[in-house]
Amino acid sequence: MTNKKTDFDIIVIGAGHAGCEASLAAARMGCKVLLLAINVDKIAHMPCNPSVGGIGKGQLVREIDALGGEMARNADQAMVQIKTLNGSKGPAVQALRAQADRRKYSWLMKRSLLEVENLTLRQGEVLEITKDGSAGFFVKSSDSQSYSARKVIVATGTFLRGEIVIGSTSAPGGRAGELPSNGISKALKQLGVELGRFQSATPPRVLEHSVDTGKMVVQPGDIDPVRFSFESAKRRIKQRQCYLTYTGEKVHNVIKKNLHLSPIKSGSVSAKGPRYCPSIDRKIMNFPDRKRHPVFVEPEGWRNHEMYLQGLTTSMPIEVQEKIINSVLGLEKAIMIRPGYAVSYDYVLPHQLKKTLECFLRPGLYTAGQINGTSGYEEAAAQGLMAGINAALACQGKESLVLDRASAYIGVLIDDLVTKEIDEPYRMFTSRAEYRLLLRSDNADLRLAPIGHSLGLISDERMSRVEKKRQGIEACIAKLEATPVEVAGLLDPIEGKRARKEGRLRAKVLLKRPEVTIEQLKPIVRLGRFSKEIRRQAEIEIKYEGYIKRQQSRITAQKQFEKMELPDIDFKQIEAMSSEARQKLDQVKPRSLGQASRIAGVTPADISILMIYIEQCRKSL
Amino acid sequence: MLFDETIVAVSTPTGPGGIGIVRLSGSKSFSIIDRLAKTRNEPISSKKSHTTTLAKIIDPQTDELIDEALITIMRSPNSYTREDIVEINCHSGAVPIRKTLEAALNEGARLAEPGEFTHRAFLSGRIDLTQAQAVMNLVQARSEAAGRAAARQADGHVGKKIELLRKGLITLAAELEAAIDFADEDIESISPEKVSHALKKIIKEIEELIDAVSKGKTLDRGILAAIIGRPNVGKSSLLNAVLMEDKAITSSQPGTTRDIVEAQVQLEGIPVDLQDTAGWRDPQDDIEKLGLEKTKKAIAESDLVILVLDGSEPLAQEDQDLLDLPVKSQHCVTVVNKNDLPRKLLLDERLSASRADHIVSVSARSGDGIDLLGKTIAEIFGFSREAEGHEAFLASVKQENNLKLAKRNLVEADEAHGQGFGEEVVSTLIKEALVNLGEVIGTEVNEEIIKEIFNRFCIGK
Repeated sequence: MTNKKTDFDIIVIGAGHAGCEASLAAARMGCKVLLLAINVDKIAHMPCNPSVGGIGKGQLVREIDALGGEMARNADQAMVQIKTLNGSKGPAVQALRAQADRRKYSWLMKRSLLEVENLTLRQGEVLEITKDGSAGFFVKSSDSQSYSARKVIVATGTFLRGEIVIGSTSAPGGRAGELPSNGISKALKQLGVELGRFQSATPPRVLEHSVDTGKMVVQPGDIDPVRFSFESAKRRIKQRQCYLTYTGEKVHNVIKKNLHLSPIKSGSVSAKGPRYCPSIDRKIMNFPDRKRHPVFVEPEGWRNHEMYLQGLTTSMPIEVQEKIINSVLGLEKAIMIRPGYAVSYDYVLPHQLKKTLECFLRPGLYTAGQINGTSGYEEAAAQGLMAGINAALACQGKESLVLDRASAYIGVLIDDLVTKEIDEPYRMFTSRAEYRLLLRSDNADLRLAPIGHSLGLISDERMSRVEKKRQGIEACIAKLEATPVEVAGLLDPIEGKRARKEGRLRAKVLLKRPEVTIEQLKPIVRLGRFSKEIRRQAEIEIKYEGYIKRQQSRITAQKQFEKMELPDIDFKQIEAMSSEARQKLDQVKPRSLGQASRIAGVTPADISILMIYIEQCRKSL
Repeated sequence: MLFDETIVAVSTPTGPGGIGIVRLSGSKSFSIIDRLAKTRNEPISSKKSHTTTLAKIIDPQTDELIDEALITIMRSPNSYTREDIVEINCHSGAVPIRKTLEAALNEGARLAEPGEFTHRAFLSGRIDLTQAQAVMNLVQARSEAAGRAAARQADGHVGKKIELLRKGLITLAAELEAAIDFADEDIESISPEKVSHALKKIIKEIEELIDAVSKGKTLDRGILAAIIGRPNVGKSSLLNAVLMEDKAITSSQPGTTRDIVEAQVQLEGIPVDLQDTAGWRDPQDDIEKLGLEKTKKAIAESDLVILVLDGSEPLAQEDQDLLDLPVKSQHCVTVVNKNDLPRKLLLDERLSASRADHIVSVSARSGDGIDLLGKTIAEIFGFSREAEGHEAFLASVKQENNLKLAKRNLVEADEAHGQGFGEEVVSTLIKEALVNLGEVIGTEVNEEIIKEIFNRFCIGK
């Protein structure tokens, strides 16, 4: 087969959060991209909660922004409310969450797609993906169009053989009101990709004017709102309120009485669902002693007229859902517009992927987003961005981009996906990141903008701002390091006695104490020339310094291990290794010693043997 | 696993008389030996490569003299691993070997993984390609032996305690992590007082465990062993057989030994203080009454109880009483004596686990089985020249070292918490401690904690 020219460099299938980031990144990097959407009115649609960010997820959004992705900017423009979560806790675990206008979010993203050069957006349902000899892939759509490309990124979310369940009825569907995609499951199987099945669910929505918010607790946005994107202008914005109410005995009785009708009880939803997002029926079953469960009532936009009932996820029969809703305080007269439902779908077992999100078996084929067994818009967008970047790099013959666990939450996400056994839809938590003190929302630009810049996704102008910020922080820390401060002057009279004994200390040493703030030191050390943001960064760095240093040797070691790449090895051949280790390694096919060391069941001795084995292979060449 | 780390191990199983080599390899080997070894003039590290020096090994943390040893240094790259190597030849028994090893660990060395010296030698090109397979097999074999030793240990008293401590820490970490990751949910977060209380409690438990473990090693004064049994089962004969001299007066007359007879022996290189006690029976006179009191006291103070039974007679009521005697933390060996006579003794299955574990059949008269008794005792205390025993010894060193590392992290967690640092810092340190205790990687600990969160809290909006 001759190496004939393809229509496109990259075809992205699916225009959800992953597909949009993938196609934008690849097009911005200069690749000719076709984005195929099953419905161009549903671009970057939010079928579940109308919010972006959250604890762990907010960090992902910031990282996407620092790498030149779209989600943060889009969320900043489409938000109806924004909040800093964990504001009273340490900076490493603070995160942003925005309530978004889902329609605005969608059309803003669509506009971005249409404005980018090299990107073609087209509506079409994909029926077939076939390998085109050595040149790449053919993608065929239901309207009998056929396109060829060197790389294909599949980002079809929950659409693969999607099945929607409400009560005892079950019908094919990718999202409520949309048909699933059966062709792609088949196509992936034919390409040798192994699929599993997961389940997810969403709560019902009610008519805004039928909700009695007077009975609920108001949940306002931040008074001094921060933005997701480091680039978004900080202007005052109008915000909408969310509301908090609770379930009670009445609700619980309705559920208990109808539990036999719950699909989770009857078994019609049997695929694995997420533990962190149980339905209200499951919550009552698993925690029978709880007197109440919270229900957050959230607007779905500026003029959407629908309210999302966070906490009432269920796929019970519609009549039961209505009864449940109307037993909740403040929702007595609420009119349900859309029922909650569960959806089960095929996903790609992610251990078949490299860390670039390319399939081992089918070079050139990438998968990203919920199709890889994750849940959440942010997790999807992060993967989309990385798949887009890597597909583009591969087209250009450049070295791939893999972020490690000590560099980004994105690194943690992808490493977990390809290394661990994923037995429920994967969601990010900060506790998954062992270097959490380092991977903060506030320093995502410092960590990742240089990478975004080298890819061409961050402008020179923006990069120079980040560089200036970095220099400012260093100078501020140096100033604190060099300036001695009278301890007594800083503390209150009661503490003063102890403090007088301490005499003078370097400002940096003093700032390590949790009770001392940089703003206290500002007039004494004369930090006025540094911006508030720079002072804050310097403060965080200094406060965490000791704890980050403890982990530094492990981080260095890990990076060293990550660099030790594993060639194509038949792990089953390594006879000296325990059979369990051989089997696990063969399944995961780690690309580096670092990754191998994180596989459950692989011991340090196995890693030792692996090192010797590679050395043996290398030497005998 | 990492080459910038300096590793240490006992490179020979401790043999009779307790000669053994503690070997260090890595960039910090020389600085560590300079802190451990006191020489008259210049420090060991300034000596020429491949020279041997006699020096006193002093524990830098306690200033205690551990041993006098011959120390050989080999400079990189002229060594087995091509790194700086130090070999410390201890010769005063198993106790100094262990103490030297522990001192090196305290000074920043890491306990070598099974086969790691050889592994390093191979990767540095010291061993040629044809031996690669053999090296891999060796690593595997050692690690299997270490794995078995660790598994046995996990089953033991200390192992079970550690598992409980781990569970406590997982629960605490889950509370803290839930407060971080699910702060926007309706969960009750743990109060600072509770965190502080839980941390202090676990630190105290770890300290007690470290104490118990190091007491179990009974290194300073040797092992204190009480020989007990009803009259005329041959306790004194056993003492003499072990000593290979007639220290205690023996006769067929029950009650010959009225006071405690003490003697010190070296069993497999470990100093053991043997105490021969008066026979256990209802006291016939005041002297015997006094003797019995002394026996009870000796049992209470001992590290090891050697219960002697007469194999040529059926189990007597006194035997049964002694078998049922509650033992606290002591180790027990049951010796069935007189195996040169026809066996009439039947030990029933009701023996408690600690009793049933170590039963040795001997003849104090002929000396048969005395060797085995020595080995059994050595094994109980983690010293043995057998390969398996050596692994058990290493496993116990590792266990204690892990406990110490975990304690250090938890003390720091408690300090950080006291100073007002948040959950994210406290939990990071707790997780480090969990990695210390569990010898697993960080990501596995995270999974355990996440699982615990979902068990404890109703998460999900």
